Amino acid sequence: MTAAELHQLLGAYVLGGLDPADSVRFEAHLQECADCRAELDELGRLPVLLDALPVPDAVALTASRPGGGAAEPPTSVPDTVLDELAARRRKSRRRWTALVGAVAAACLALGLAAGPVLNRPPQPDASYSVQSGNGLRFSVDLARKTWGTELAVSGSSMPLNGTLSLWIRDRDGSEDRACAWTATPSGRIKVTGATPVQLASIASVELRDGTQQAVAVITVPK
Amino acid sequence: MSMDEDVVAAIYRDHGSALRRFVLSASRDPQLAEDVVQETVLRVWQQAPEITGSLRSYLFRTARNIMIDNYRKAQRRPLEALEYEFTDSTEAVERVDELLNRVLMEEALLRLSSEHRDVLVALHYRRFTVNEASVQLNIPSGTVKSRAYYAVRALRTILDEMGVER
Repeated sequence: MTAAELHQLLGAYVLGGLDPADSVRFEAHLQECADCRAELDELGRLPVLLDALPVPDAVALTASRPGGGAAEPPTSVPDTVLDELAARRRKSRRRWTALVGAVAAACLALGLAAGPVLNRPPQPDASYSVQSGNGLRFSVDLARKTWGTELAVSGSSMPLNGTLSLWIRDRDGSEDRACAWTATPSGRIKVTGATPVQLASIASVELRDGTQQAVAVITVPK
Repeated sequence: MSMDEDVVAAIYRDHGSALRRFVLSASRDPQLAEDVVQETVLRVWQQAPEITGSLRSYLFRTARNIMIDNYRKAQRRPLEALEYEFTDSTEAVERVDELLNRVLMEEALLRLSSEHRDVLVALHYRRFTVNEASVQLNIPSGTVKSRAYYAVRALRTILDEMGVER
């Protein structure tokens, strides 16, 4: 038996099932092999954990599940949950909803926006992140300042060419460019911008590419 | 639908059935169970935790905590306590933890490849020897041994990812 084969006996040794000759061989090998002793230490408790599942349940898992993995019917979300969701969202002021407008930009379709990203030091007053179907990720932390609002922008899989810019639209509809930067070859960016618009007056934050096309829009509800 | 609703709907779609099955194993009352499932999904959405491992095991653990909280609350109201099978709270916690470990282990085994799972079930649960397993599964005994090794390695990795302690 090769050293590798001896080493592999560990599996059947832990699970039980080695015949007496192999057991003796493996135990002799254990005396000499510190690696095997360490691995036995790591895996030795598995049988105890396995015993949490009753035998018939475990045996049932081997029948007619050729692909492996849990094949369960999908469940749709009950209306009561959606009602409760709306109620809790109203209660929690921090949890603003970031609405992502899919802007008519030929190359980009925006997808799912994750909820506000919490616990990022220093604590921003509002945080949004957006992810599009083609991988673009973009997040903005807004911090209230006496002079206006500070914006910490980070993104990945951003457009690779041209000058990108971030625009703030206030509630009256006027626009202000908060910052602009040259697209990076890596598509990653971390920049800080500033706008005189007060946080409460910000209606939307828009990312534009080199041709001034909007590629991502975060709409801030009142 | 808003983004939050999409997230909640996605959790329901992917994990609702498994979660309901777990909760129903601990609760007699289908309506109570449904409430626990609902609270679990909403709480996980609300906390928006940074999950690096498996969302499903995180959901199971959250449901476990909610069931235990509910049980403790119900105990202070004798009529409601009748809804539960348990008589004292230590027993209830033990029972729910037992069910949690069971469902986590089932989940872990389902994530193994079927080749690994078959060998593991044959050796550990059915108490077959390597040679018996070889006949049963119709594979050489050397293959049983090497699959047994890779099965326990894979299982350990899966359990680590699910946050099941060593």
